[in-house]
Amino acid sequence: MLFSGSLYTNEYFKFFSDLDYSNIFHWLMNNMVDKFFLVWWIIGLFITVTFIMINTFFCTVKKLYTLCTKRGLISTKQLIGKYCISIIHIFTITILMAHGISHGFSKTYTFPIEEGKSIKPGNNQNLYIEKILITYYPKRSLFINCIKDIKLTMVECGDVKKRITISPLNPVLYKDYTLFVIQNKKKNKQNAPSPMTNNFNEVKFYLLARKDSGYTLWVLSFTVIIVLMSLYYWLIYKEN
Amino acid sequence: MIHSIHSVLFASAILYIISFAAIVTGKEQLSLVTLIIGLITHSVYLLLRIFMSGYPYLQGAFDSVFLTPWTIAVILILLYYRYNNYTIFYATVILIIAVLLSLLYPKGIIPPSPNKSTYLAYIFFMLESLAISLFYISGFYSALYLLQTDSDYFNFSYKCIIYGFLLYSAAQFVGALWCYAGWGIYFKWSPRHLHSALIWVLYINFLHLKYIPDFTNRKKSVYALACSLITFIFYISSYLHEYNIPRIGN
Repeated sequence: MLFSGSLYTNEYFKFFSDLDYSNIFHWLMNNMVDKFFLVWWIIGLFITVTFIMINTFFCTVKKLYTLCTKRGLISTKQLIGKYCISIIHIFTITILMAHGISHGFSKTYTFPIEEGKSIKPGNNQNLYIEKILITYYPKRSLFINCIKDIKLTMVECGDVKKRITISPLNPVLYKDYTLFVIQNKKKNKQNAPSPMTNNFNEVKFYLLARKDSGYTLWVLSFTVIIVLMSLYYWLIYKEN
Repeated sequence: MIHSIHSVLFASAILYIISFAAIVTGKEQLSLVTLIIGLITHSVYLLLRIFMSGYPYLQGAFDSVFLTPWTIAVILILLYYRYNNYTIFYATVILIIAVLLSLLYPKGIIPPSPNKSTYLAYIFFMLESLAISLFYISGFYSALYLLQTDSDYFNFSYKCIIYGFLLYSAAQFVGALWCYAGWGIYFKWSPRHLHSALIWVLYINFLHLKYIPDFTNRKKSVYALACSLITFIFYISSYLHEYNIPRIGN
């Protein structure tokens, strides 16, 4: 499924890049009938992942049960190693669930960046863009006209004027939403833009407000997995 | 000036080729020395890439086409000092393939964008290059095992996969954090992300093969070799995907 997907996304890049910020269920509903030949692998991926989750869950439960009954028969180190494996599998399930939550239940709003323009993520208060500050690379370098950084100063409309500064790679949490500055390059293979003119007109920046409950679960699960995997292989390394 | 910078990469490629020729002809010391000098030359080239544009830009050194041969050389030297075995230098053949690919590739730097200049990106590229280098080396030793049936080769390949998998997992984690900070999502429906997921799944599968009693070491070696070839093809395709992107300092 993943391999088929990589071929399709390579050929129909624009079509699938729309899915990045869309609700996957709505996206599939809209495209399933007309473009089934393009989206079948995503449905297949969902079904496969669901089966993998069920299989992993029951195998881990069975393994834990066996471990509990055999607790006295193996050394403490071996027991720790085996518990590590079981926990890794449980958290693999949560990673897959986190992906499901992110793709199915996230809320995303995109706003063009313009000074004085106000935005309203969800049911929150209005924010308006007070100032846009663009920094370029120095003129003496070959990166002349390339944007080094872009900083937005936003102000909350209300009695208390709260200021928020946001830039690419430095998202800000605002109420339930995380605000990002993202960019979207205009792709034109026939007439590729010169690197020397990679300026604000050719690279479009947007303000993205996203509420993604899956992300926290994903970070937590992956952190646990990496720590436990390292511990498990370190135990094996020490034993050998 | 820029052409003379790229000729440093050419010099390191020659040194790697001499290292391979030396080990094949039985001159083990010469192989080690030329590999170390080649690595130093390559490190100089990566450092020069940082300053190539006239402004210090770290991303220049972390282009995986040029970083991967460097990580392969580092791993081979570290493995030599860990196991004190000159046969490791036969794997310089992989290094030569990787460095020849980088010689054929456009050597300029992709114009910078604000969401790429982060330490997360540098950590990601370093971890990923180390991991795929270990996967390539594991493929090489799996092939040797299939040819000579020496269990040492199999064990060596297995260890490379374990360490490679750990590093690859860490790379995916760091890469996703970077993607989230830069693009607001941690998984994109793009060929690059799907290839990464596929490589990860392939190696997870390999690590679970030990639970199948009938799956002999020979079959595992075939699988490991196939995995490293698939990894190689995927990375070549991602390099080709970026081949036509306008660059600065070609």
